[in-house]
Amino acid sequence: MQQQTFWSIRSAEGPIAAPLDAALELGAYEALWSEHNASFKSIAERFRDRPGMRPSDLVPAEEARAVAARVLAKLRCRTGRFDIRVHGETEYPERLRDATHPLELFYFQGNWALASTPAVAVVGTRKPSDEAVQRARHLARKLVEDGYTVVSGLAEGIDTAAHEAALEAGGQTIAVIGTPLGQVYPKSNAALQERIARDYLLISQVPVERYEAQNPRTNRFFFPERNKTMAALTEATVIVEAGETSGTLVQAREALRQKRKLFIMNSCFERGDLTWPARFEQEGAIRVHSYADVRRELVGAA
Amino acid sequence: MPTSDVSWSGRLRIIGDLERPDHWHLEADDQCAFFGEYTPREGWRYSATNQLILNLKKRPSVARGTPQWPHKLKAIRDVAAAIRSSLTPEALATSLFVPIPSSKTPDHPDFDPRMLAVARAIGAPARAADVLRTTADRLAMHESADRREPDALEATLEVLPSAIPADIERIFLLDDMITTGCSFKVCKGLLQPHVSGKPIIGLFASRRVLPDPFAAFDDLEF
Repeated sequence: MQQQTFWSIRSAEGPIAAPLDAALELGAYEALWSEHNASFKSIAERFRDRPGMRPSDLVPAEEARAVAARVLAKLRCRTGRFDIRVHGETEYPERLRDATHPLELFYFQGNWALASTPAVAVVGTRKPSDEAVQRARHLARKLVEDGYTVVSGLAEGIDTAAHEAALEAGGQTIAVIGTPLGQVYPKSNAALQERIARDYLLISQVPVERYEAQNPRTNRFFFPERNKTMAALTEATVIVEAGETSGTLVQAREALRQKRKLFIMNSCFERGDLTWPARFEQEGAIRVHSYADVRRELVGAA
Repeated sequence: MPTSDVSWSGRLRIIGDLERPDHWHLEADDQCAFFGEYTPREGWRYSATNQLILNLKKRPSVARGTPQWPHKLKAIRDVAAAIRSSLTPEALATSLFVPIPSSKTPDHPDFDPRMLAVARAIGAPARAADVLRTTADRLAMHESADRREPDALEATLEVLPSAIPADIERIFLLDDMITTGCSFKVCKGLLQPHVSGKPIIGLFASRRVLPDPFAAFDDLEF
């Protein structure tokens, strides 16, 4: 395409040293995802120890352009304007490199400046008790009062409660979703997702073409992957309520691995059927009885 | 502290197929590149690019002689350093850096040749010249209610072709922010008759993004 000839992408001939063409990188990244057995792990491994390498270094430019044109057209038609962050550009948050499988590229809509705000993730089960919903809402409100952006995964249950309470309190929220932009799960969150995309910040690391080529059963593996991104994006994660096999525990593990603070609500410890709270406490998680315990750790004052 | 990416280190991203609709005066053969993104919304104070742009834009009439002034000077140095480190040595030696002029004439208290200061701070062997000048005051973009129309803008600018060295291979037009691309298009159009087909490339410290994804592209103001 035209752009390529003007910039002599990655060649020594252009006046700009290695200019980054986001559309080209998007196409290349989507193409990498079309390869057999591609995963966040396998892709991250290809970039590990190779600073400066980009998706476009691994995919023929013509193929990357063709994929980019398809994905751009599809997403714009489905969901309007969007942008991406690519590792190596000024606005890519370096703290995302702390993740076990750092993202080379991801999609977003909304106000990117929110990604620089102090943020705490509030996450938990899709099928919470009423008490847990109330706790999540209270926590989100209090975090907003202290100037934190509330990050969650826009799933049913705790995630939805956290986003909604943050907004009701006049605060900021970031949703990291487990579907591509323009796809909603659960459907009941369509309006909330649209609101977050318009007025706040919606992030998706899910490749558009791969998602469409796979069945829903396989696609559900994208959900816990986005928990790792939430851990990396925030300075702390609070688990409100989660079962023994919850995807939330992926985030717990990841937060500790990334040296982020992990708070677990005391009510989780009181459940005799759960072994994970004690296990994570042993590994460094902080048991919290009230918001004051969270606050003491985050801002240093009760 | 994991949540603060405090440094502003520039790497150039081009305005390509993904970004171009946000800057609708640009056409596919316009070459422009930017470092960060400026978001005119809540959260600005945490964003390193937003901070840099606000420091860069501090009005001389308000900030000079105050503790704010060194921040402006630092922003000028940071942008110049980012440009220098993003261009090949060969490009530095063979390019002319031309600021897109301030909206005010030199007699106005808010005359602010900050991009000329950036161009000069890039340093040798790069060359800088204010080939384009403002001959009538305009409202700054963020104060103006109207879209900037190319003809109206062009009427307030003059070009000094004698300030363009004959041996350059390209011109880089510099500005702190690209919004619609109108200024770039007008300035490029004014320079083109004087550069015998050599490339004119826009370099911007930031691009302004309007976050609402559902606003139609042609409804976007600014």
